Amino acid sequence: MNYRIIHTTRYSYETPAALSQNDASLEPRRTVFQTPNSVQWSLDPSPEYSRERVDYFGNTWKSFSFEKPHKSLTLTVTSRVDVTESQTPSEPRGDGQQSVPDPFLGPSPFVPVSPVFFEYGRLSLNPSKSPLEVAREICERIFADCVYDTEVTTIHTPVEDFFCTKRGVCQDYAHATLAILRSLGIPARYVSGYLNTLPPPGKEKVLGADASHAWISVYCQDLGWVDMDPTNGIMVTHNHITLGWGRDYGDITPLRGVVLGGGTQTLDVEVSVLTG
Amino acid sequence: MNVLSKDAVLGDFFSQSANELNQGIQQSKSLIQEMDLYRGWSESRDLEKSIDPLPWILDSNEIAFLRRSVLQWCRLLPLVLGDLFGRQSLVRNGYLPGGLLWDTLKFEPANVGAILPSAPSLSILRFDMVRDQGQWQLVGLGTEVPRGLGFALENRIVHSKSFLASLKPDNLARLAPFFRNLKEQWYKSTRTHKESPSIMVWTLGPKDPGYFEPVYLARYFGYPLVESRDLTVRSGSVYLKTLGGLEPVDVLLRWVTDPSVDPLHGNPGGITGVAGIMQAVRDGRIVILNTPGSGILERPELLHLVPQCSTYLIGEELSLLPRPINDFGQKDTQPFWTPRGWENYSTRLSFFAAQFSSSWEIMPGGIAEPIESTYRLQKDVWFLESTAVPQISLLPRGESASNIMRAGEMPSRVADDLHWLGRYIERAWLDARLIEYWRQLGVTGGADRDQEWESLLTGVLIDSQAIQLPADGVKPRPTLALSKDPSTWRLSLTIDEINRISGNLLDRLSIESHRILGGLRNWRIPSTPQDISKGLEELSLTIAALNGLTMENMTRTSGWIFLDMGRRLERAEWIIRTLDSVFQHPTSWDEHQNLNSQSLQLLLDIFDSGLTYRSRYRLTPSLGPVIDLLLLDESNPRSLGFQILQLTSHIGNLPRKSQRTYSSSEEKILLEVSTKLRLMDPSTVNTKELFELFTFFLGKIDQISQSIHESYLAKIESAESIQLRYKDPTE
Repeated sequence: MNYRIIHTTRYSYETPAALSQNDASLEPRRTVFQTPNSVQWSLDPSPEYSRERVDYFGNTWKSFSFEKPHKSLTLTVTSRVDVTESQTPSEPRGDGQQSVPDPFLGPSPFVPVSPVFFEYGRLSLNPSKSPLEVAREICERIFADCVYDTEVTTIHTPVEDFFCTKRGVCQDYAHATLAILRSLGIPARYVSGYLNTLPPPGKEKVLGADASHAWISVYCQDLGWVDMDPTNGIMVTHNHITLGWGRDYGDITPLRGVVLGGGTQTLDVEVSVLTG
Repeated sequence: MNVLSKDAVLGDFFSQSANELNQGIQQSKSLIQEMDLYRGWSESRDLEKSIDPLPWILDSNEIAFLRRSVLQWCRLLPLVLGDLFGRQSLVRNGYLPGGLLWDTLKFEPANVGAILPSAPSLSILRFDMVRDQGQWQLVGLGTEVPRGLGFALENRIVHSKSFLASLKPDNLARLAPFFRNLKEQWYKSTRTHKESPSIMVWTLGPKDPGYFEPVYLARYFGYPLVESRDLTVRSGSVYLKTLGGLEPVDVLLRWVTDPSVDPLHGNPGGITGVAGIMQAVRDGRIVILNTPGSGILERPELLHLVPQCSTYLIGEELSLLPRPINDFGQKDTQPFWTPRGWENYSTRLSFFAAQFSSSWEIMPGGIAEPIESTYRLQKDVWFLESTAVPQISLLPRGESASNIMRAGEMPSRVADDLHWLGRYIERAWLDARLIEYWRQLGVTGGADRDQEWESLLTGVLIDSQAIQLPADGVKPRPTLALSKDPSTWRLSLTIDEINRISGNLLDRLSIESHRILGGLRNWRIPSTPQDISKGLEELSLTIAALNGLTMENMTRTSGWIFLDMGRRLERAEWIIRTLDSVFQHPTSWDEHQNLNSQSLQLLLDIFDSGLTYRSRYRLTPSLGPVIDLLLLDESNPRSLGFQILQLTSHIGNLPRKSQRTYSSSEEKILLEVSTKLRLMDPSTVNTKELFELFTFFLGKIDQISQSIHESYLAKIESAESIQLRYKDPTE
């Protein structure tokens, strides 16, 4: 599948902001299943400083700062990616990569240890099941037990709270699933990316209506890393485009920054995932 | 040459009488108190620190062992740090469990790329030890911030001044050469290899309980002391925000812990700090010592695993080992002098080592303190060499805090604080005087004249915002209001602000100024009418003393200029508001629509200019001469003209980055005001014109204030205006 993804972020300030410093991980990552063909950044105003780096987990980051007073900031990343099609979309697909899963075994800042997660996960444990089967079942249970709701949580909501109300967004689904899997000793990491959503039958796809997405990846010795999407209760296929991964959201935040002055700020995000 | 043995020194101390020892203790306490201001707000003051007369003395055999074994750790620890943030071969080869690295040691992957694996920037390491049956054991490390280094230095200085009048062994190793080498090393440590790098001490500020040490060391080394909000990152380099503009920073000696370094760094991001500074570290544009991320080395869980890394990394067995976790063996004790005489306590020692060009060196001193004691005692630690050692000292001679920095280098944040301190001090003084004057009327009240004055003055108090009009709208009367609610007085708020700001300026004002300001810390508006007068007088005297001190003792740097500009702006505003209030008040006018002499007399009184007026005019007051004296007369320190003249001269003396080819906007406004004043003819001015002028002046004073802020202070933004963006919630 060939994708063109346009991700636009726009901050508007009440009064001119004096200085804005940002860190972004918005470039699709090269994996066994996907090949980024081009990435184009467009920044308005143009930044006084810009640097790229690759982090511990292999993700690419761009740091950039705006040092002159500005009333708005628009950042557009347009990337072209080729994702290998899944022949059997309902079957797990592993990347076959062998790695040391140490960072993804224990708690991490957004994925704490708590007995509630182990209690939940224990019900899926069975000596006859492989870790992959356990993980898959847990993803399906989380999908069935939780309600997608954008009004309940923010990024500061502890995952335990989400697990109480069982209402939240894909980050919450991913963090809770990670907490359960890790409490069972199954290494699992957080993946940031996009989902190609299909318009309702007979309708045109609306530009800008897509969004960033997050899911998880489970380490299974022989298969390598296998991606699953607990928010949708499915295996990850060619409809998922990967930006990068880490222990949790905190390691692979798409865009974070600090702004000096500016008063109240408003944020608009538009994502379009286009095929062909 | 006075070369003494350990036994000879010990013998000398034990032969001293209780009286002699207690005298020394007293002397040491008063020396410590002199610096007490900087011990931070939260540090417990009820446990007064004192220095034990008897140092812990190490002879040349012990020194040789320590040097060898501590330096072995010093060679090893940077390799451990470099490996953790580099190849991670310790984990891959099973010397350190991978799980422990992530779960327990809180390995921060964001530091990969910021810590140089081949040579992590480590400058000073601290080693905490005990001795168990003569055997040295390591109980802790200080790798993040070298806490205790400042105390070690202070203890040495205080100890030698208090107890060593007669006893000065020439074979006692000095600390000064170590610190001199450190300075040289820091000078050479920039990665940009600048000819004269700018080195600063980075502190969390007075809220940090450990504030004392960075203040003390910054003074000792002669480096500027800066807080996070004084620093900014522009185009990948670190700058100090000063009055003269942005000044580059090359080396930061941090007293700031890992989570407080950079809000944009790590997971979760830092809680405070300088946004983007870790990118500057990654780019090699700044050296921070010790490198952020070095805190991982001092986690207790790692300490016990270091020995097994040693053979792998340096091919040596460590001769100094960590104290086993379950070791309950008796730690060696040391005698301490207490009010009950000599008592023995288990003692912990802290040593420091520093990295120089090619090798590490141990500081020939340290701190020894009882592990458990009801007293806050510390001992100096002596390295008694076998031969005499040379003497040098780095102590500044007669340097005061305010001239450590050259004028242009004053951080904008400090100038802003000084400006507001000036404003609030002046405001408190004006309010206190006016309220006292008003209160006296209430006491002597009764005559009609006084009642009219009282009503007039109450109006002035309300118009100048010194007191609030109560919610019921009934104007307060001095006799009644006193026993009512003093919280309607602006004075309480003003005093709170003075206390808050002076807390930010601990390292900027002289010790005497802080003593005087300390008197304000407990000042409250007295609750009984009898005490009010005394309380207000006390306040006025305190402020007069403070003003006297700043006039006489403060160097005329930018700091003083900002302090005085604050005072002048506050007073200028008050002058206009007061004149306007009196002129607006109906009782100020007689039946012929002329200002009556009573209200003019009141003005002269509250402007403290009655005496001058009488010596010049010897008449009952009339409008023209009063206006001349209070508005125009540039020689009267109570007049508007005088304030404008002073402000103009201050602005002219402030540092400027570029060559002055044109007047700044604040200079233009000042010129406008003084021209208006000078062109005024007091003998013909009518009241309508006056009211217009008052409005004009008030507007201009506000503009001057804004313009000064924009030109010099706008570079600082309060911490609250920095918004952390963790938005873009994925959906």
